[in-house]
Amino acid sequence: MDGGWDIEQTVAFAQVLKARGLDWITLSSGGISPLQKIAIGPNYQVPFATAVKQATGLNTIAVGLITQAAQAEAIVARGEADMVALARGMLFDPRWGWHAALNLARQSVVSHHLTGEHLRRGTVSYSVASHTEPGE
Amino acid sequence: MELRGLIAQNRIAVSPMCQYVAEEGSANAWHLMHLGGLASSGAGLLFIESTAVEPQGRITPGDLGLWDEATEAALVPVFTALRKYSEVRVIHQLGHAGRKASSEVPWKGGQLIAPSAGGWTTSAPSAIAHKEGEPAPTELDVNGLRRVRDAFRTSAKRSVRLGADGIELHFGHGYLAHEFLSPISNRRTDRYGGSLVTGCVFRSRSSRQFATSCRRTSRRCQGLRL
Repeated sequence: MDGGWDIEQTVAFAQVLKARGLDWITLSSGGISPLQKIAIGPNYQVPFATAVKQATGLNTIAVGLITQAAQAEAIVARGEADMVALARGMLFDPRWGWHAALNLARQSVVSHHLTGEHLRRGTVSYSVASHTEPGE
Repeated sequence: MELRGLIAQNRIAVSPMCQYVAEEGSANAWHLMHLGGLASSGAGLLFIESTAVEPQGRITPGDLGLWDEATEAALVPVFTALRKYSEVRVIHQLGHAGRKASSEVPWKGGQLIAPSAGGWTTSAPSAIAHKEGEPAPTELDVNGLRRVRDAFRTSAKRSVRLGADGIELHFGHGYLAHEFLSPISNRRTDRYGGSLVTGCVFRSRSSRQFATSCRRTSRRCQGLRL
């Protein structure tokens, strides 16, 4: 809100802390005053993560009404954030990650950034999908 | 996904979620059920709900805390189970609610609870109430700031001892660190204050100190929630 802490200052602050060893930043907004007015909708806070990621190169985690696997995959695949974090989606579906892996892998046209498939040959030897296919 | 040596299976995280059922800051069976269940969600990272670094830093009386032997011991069964039965990487969120502490749970309105009704006096960068009509918090003096910084550092140490893979400091949502950063809640004229345009460096001084102090102590990967 006017006269408060904003995204420009967040970027400057993130840069200072990155130099001091900060490893990631999770971007949300609001809470400083009951007078705030925030329009809420799917991905409404993702642009904050993108702005900080682009300006600082820090790992960013996006939050805020991310509920669908394809929606989450798109955020990561488009490079808008490095990770996505879910709360309500996880409460509604406590195996959200399993379902996302199954769902995205079946589509097989997506890049699987989210499930970690592209890291299989790297330092990560398993992905979410390995939970659903233990024999793999 | 790698964060300073911490390797998460994928890019999905379970957000920290306040459960409002801790007793005197101590975790109980519900936290084991809640976190235990979500440890097998398929997400690569699991965040433990915002945990207060001192009793008066709790948002509500039911918040988790990590300020003494008892609160640390109460989290041992939770960490032990997560470690034994899940490969999820655990990030512990630490925080201090500042002037938004001592509050009612959201579904009952979230308003301040008076000390006479089981709440406590809150502290903040400046003696400005969050909501009009609410009692103002106490302005933190230099000793108070030092106490909070040390509390962050000690809690980080306890968290590492419990086995957290990383620590996230809650610097958003109008809680203490955010209150220092924002000119709306920080009207100080000392080295921890300053105007919107020129004061950024000063207003962020205390928050930077919380962060660097935790980092030095924990030697784990560290993030911020803003």
